[in-house]
Amino acid sequence: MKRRTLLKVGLGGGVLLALGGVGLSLRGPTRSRDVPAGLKTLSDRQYLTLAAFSARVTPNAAVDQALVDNKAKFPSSDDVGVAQKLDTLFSTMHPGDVGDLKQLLDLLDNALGGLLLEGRTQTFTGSSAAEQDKILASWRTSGVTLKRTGYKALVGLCAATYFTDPRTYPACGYPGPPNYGNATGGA
Amino acid sequence: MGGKIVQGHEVSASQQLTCDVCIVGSGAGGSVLAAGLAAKGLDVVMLEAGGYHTKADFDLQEGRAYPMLYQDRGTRGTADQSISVLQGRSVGGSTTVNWTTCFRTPDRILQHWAKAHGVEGVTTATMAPHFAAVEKRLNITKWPLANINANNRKLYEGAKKLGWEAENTSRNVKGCANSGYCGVGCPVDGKQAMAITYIADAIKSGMRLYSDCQVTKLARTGQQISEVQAEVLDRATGRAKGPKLTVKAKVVVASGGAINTPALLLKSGLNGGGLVGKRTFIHPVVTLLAEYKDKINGFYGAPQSISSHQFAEAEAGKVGFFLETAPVQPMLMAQAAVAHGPQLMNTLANLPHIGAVLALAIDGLLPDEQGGTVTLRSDGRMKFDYAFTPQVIDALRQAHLAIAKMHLAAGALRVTSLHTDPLRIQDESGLKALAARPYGPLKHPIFTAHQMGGCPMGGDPKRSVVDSQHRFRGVDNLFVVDGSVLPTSLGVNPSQTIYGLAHRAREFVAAAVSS
Repeated sequence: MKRRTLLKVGLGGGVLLALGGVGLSLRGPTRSRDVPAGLKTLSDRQYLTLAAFSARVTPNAAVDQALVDNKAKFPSSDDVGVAQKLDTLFSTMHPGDVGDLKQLLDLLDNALGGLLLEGRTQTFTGSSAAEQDKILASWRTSGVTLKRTGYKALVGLCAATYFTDPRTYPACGYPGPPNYGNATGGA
Repeated sequence: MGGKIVQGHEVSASQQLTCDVCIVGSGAGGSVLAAGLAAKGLDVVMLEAGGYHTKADFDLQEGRAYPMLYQDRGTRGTADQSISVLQGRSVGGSTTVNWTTCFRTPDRILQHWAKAHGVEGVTTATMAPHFAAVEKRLNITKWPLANINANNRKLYEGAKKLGWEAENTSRNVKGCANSGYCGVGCPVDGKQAMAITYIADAIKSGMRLYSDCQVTKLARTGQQISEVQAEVLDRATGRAKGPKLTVKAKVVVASGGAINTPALLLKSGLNGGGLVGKRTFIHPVVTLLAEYKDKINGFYGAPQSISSHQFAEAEAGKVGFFLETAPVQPMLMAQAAVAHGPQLMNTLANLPHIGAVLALAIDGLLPDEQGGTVTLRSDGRMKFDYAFTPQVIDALRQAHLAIAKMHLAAGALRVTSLHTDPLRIQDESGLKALAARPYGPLKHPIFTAHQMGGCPMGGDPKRSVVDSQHRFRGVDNLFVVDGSVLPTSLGVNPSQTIYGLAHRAREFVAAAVSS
């Protein structure tokens, strides 16, 4: 298969994604945050990559207060525990779908993958916040289907998980749903 | 004799069941069908992969509801992630989480089905008694204009200012609290969803319903489905917990809905001459976010109560669209934005001021449209792809322009396009730039909440999977009664069409039992 064809494979195609797992990335992840005990699905590295990615999806300091009339502050992605919540969600999803997502995270933090996809030599977790923002922006508008697909998948999961946490509601100006006294606890 | 609902956690050993009719799926099609068959005294077994939930489970938190009540824990999409697929999964199917908008099937669509697809006996006149019956049972009535929320009022006012058609819709509600949370399970049983209407009726008439029960195969022997094979799921993990159910039925009905029914048929080796899974239409949805000076608080109030069909009937060779609204709740808006960083955070920080109007493209009516395709991956997972035609893409562009005009006419301060390179416009001088933006997959967010087709009904065996009486071609005791039989999309919300067709299908399935 030619490289051009490889890069057009969407999420689920799995060919380029498999690069993330071939062990050609000699650098370990940069541990800028702790890994919680008892992860259900993700490896430590995948967790760190997802947490770093999520922090750039929902940077809590990014709100331009001049544009909004709501002065409440957003919590950080780590405060909300986005990556850990996603690890739990993944444990209830089809293993094949989760496998694709894990390969995507492996690829994102793989130096060889970064080199092939965008010419960067640094891992995602080893990049600065500004560099990570550039990577997200490039994936969003990339001509490579896998990158746009990966952006959509990971951004969607991180954003959805973050904004479903009631701790984000005040900064959204959202009073939350009305309380009809209904119970919680069902799966 | 009354029936029962058996939940997965109550099944500890494998079982073999016999019955007259086994219905796979408990959504809009299967439930209406089941109630009619059970009322005739037939022994009905219904199998549903999702869980059984009552209003007590609905705390209206999106973070709990979407993984609990939607397919693939709320993450379903096309393989390339260009389209997010909102589709329900619980007892009641998508009726548990739909936004309650009901329309009879437009006459022009039924005429098209007859002319282009050879569908027989499905006309405005023949469907009228079926629609009347479901309207009575589900209390489908016009939602008063006085009760619409500010988000819908913006659509109504903007459309009227432009001289466009716009009207308050009918909804299947009784005692609606006007809370705005139809999409996460009605907390007061105001929505007349299947679990509290037709399924309840069927249970009273003796139906046995097994929830958390994933059908894995329709086993075929000759021209018959000899048994339905299913595995019981652990609801918390979604994994098979061990026990299996085997159902031997005189007649089997696939009612898992578009996407899932074709996937099950393919897993069962029933490809309908290569047609199963093809021609899946989805009303591709695009939106723009509008910011208003005053608070809209679009998270509250009936989410969808105004509809404009001004652009539904496109000129020859083009694709039309219609306008409706969406609830402006945080997760849904974050998903709609498909953005990160300041763009995402500034949008969500302004949530009370956002108006959200949707445009739904009416796909499947042009001769060369193939729509979506359901296939199976090598590991058995369902794969869904959608082929955008230039006409559909152009409809998305025209739809964006219409939404922008409507918001500006309604007094919006700004309208933001949500493209990967978003455009913010403040008056109609920005429309030219909006029209020049790229449109199509992964250029901007696209959703679907209406899945139709994949087992199209028709008169030509070379172009249809089921005949005009819902019978699967080539298998004598198999019927398909759900949204997958629709030959095209509808130009209106599909729930009532599915209710009506299922009501009509009762006599065909009952006759097959006694034949």
